[in-house]
Amino acid sequence: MKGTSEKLSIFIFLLPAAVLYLLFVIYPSIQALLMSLYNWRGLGTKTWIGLDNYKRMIEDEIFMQTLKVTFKYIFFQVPLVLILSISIAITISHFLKTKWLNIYRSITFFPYILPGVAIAMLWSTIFNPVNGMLNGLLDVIGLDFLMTEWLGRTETAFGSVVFVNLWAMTGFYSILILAAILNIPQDILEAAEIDGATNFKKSVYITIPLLKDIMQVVIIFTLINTLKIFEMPQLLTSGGPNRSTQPISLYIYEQAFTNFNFGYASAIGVIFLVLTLMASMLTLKITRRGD
Amino acid sequence: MNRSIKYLTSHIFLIILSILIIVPVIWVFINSVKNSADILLKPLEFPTTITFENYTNAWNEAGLGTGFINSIIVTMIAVSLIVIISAMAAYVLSRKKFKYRITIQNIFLIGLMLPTFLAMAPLFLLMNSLNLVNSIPGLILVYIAYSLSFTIFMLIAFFNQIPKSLEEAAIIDGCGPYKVFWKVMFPLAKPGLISAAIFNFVGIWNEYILALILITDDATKTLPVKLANIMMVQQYHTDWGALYAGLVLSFIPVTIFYLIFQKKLIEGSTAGSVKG
Repeated sequence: MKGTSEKLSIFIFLLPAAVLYLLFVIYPSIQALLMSLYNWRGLGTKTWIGLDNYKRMIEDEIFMQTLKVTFKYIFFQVPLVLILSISIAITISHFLKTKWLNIYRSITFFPYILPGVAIAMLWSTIFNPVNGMLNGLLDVIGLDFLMTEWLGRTETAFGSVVFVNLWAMTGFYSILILAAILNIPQDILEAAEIDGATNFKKSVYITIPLLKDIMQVVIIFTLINTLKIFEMPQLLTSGGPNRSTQPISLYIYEQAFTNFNFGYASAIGVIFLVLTLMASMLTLKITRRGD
Repeated sequence: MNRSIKYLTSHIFLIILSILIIVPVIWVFINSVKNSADILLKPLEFPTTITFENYTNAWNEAGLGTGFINSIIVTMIAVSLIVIISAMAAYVLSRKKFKYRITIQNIFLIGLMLPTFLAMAPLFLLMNSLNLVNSIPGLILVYIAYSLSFTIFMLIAFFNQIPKSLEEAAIIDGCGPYKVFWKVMFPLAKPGLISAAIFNFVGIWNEYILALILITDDATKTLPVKLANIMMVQQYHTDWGALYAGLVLSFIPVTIFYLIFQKKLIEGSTAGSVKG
């Protein structure tokens, strides 16, 4: 008797979470796998077309372009985030046991809590060619020849979007790495100092090797978050000029909600899932190789 | 000597970084109290007169007031329900032994890997067939569903740390499973529940993509979607003052939250990945 009421209570405790999760997360995800095999515009007839949506991608120049742009974001952003956040974390850690540690930590982490939409719009106003702060500052300090339409030209648009992504992302990873540094036992560093190691040597030979695990986490997170960037290119450049800043995520949205090609959008979604899974596995493989 | 040079270069580097982070935010605050002429003609200067007209314009004409209120409602209700529903599931998954426990846990784990972009189109069609497009309750349900995996795993780790003795004592005293959860475990887990609430508050207040897909009606849009609208719809005849005021409106709740719960947010976000 007690057994059944215990079982019933377990069931009741799990029920709300299970229902919502299966209905709104798992069911649409499975639907996406199936839908990718159909030609379907949401209304009307659903035609089974097998793998045609996937074949279509190979011939779709725009898809290939957005895929290339996504890889380009990864190629630039992942190493930059890594280098910047390690440098920032190590620099902040110099202020261990002073009030500065907390002050710099709070400021560095701050962009992480702001809405992505607001960050995109904030920078869009700064890059604005007419009354933006950037061109205004360049003019004041006499570098007016650098003034340009930052988000409207192919030469500068991609770099500007990457910059805004870095502004939004780097602080979080810096603090993640800083927490790992603060976890390193102090006696190791002190012993090295007694042996005459300089700060640079301490960083290269002690701190950075001990940070291997956290760097693996940072690489996976940055990779996945770079794959997922959406509001920055959407609001800063709308993916332009000439789709030079449009990542694959924005193309899925365009196919689904501008062109209503639900089948095709789902097929690209499946590729997106594969990329996400590959990113995590690849990173694990590379960083575990040395063990 | 050596030491002070090290501090000096570190300070210079971090002060430049701090300026890069803080000045753009302050620029938005300053512009939000300037009049339109000053914004256009003197973008870099401090305002000659301070006006709050931009805020009334943003709140009323640009419709950001509705967006702000919608966002508050959605965030408050969603976060409360996420914490309660996740705590119920996490408690059972952490404490009880039953047949499919590991399987259920793994199914929830998959959710951490499924990108929103995969389910985008089918989710919209599902919501449409349930008549939940453009509906605030609908958006809340989706937000809860997409926050469960993360929150449940955060709370399982938390429940695992609570000693079993208190729970056992309550059972010996004759408390049923529901009473044990609500009267004993829920209060004991409070610090973990607060951390979960803080994280979800920031995540949901800032959420954009799901709201963009599921809400097209002006009356039910949340603040991020409303803000994005000003930018994309108005484009060249944007009311800049209202836009700056709107940005400030979107910063305020999370910034206040940050000032209060900073320590918990920073520690919470680093604990899992550093120790794990």
